[in-house]
Amino acid sequence: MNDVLPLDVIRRIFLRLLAKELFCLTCVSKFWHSLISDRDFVESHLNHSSVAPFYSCLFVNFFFVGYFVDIDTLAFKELFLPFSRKKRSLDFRVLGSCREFILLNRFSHFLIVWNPLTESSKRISYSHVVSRSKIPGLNFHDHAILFGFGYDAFQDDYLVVLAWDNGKNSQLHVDCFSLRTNSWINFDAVLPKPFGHKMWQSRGLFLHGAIHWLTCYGAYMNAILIFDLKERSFSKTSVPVKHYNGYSDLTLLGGCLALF
Amino acid sequence: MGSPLKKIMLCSSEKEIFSVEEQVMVQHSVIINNMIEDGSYNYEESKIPLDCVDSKTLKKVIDYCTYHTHHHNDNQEDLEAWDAQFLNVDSNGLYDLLMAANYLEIRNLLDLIYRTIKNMIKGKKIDEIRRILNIKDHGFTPEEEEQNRKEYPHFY
Repeated sequence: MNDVLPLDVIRRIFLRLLAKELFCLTCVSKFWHSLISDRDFVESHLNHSSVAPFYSCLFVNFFFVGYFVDIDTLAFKELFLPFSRKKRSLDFRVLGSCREFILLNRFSHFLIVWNPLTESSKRISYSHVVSRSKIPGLNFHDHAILFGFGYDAFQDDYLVVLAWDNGKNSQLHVDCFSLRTNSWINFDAVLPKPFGHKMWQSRGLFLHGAIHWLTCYGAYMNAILIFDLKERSFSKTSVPVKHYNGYSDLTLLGGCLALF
Repeated sequence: MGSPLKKIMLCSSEKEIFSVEEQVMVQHSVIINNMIEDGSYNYEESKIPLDCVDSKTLKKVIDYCTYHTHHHNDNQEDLEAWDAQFLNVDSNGLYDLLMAANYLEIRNLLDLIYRTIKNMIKGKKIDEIRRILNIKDHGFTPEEEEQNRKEYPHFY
């Protein structure tokens, strides 16, 4: 090939490759690197049906080195977390993942939306919540009533959902960060009765356009709270099969919610 | 759809004229199909000028379209074997075919070439891909290139 391939042709070929293969190709040339990292390209690639999904896991060891593991081949890549760390204490959490992104929380500072494959990341400040909540060192994992991370296909937008209260009058505040508009939106949301907002496990899971939370372990009944990212409203559903002791957790398994 | 008996004239960059069954080209090339449908092709006088396609490549493109028109009922394996043999060309030949298929919008041929190029670069080392695609200027600064080589030695 003596001439350079036209842009359109390169894009079409790239669409047929797996994300991990594309990642390797970012080193071929600066032009390929910019093409593969391009937001629009990433979007088309995710929607391209001929490409099998790429399953991977992120592990962070005791020394805070991340290992990005390809489930198919068990090949791994060492990663640096997308923020600087001075002391070796647990001051961050992996909050969840959605499509190609992982959501991290660097305590009482910011959230980070991170693509470990391209190592691109974006910081999200939540200082307005910290100042209003009056909880020093507020972090999502310990202080949020509910949190979740999901993708709204209708708006082509990634959303971080956070519900919190100030502990005094127990009024629930729901804040949503839109990656598309790069802003927080606060709205009044009502949780479905008869559940109070202390009833739920804080970590939500994204599936089919909604974030799902299970009732706390030991709650008097099991139910799943659903936040529809398109409608931006809460609803609930009962769990399909009753377990005499109640379910202790919720997870994602093969494109379904799984209770255990 | 044109009549199977009608022929159309295609003119390569060397001004060589190729006479092809209309149906063969109409079925495969979106561009030629549009030309025939909107009536801009005159059977008595028109020759479709393909200034960016040389005779050698045009002949191959016509071979592809003709074979796939007449053998579309063959079993998948036979067609794939024929396609593999058809694309057994050097990288310059493949590039010329790609540009011709792109220009004429021959979707199944494009698809076949995309798959072939994909397989040429899939799982290959960076240096090899650069050689295959003849990428001489990768655009990275020497420092960036060194950094990449250090960080991902197994890619090279």
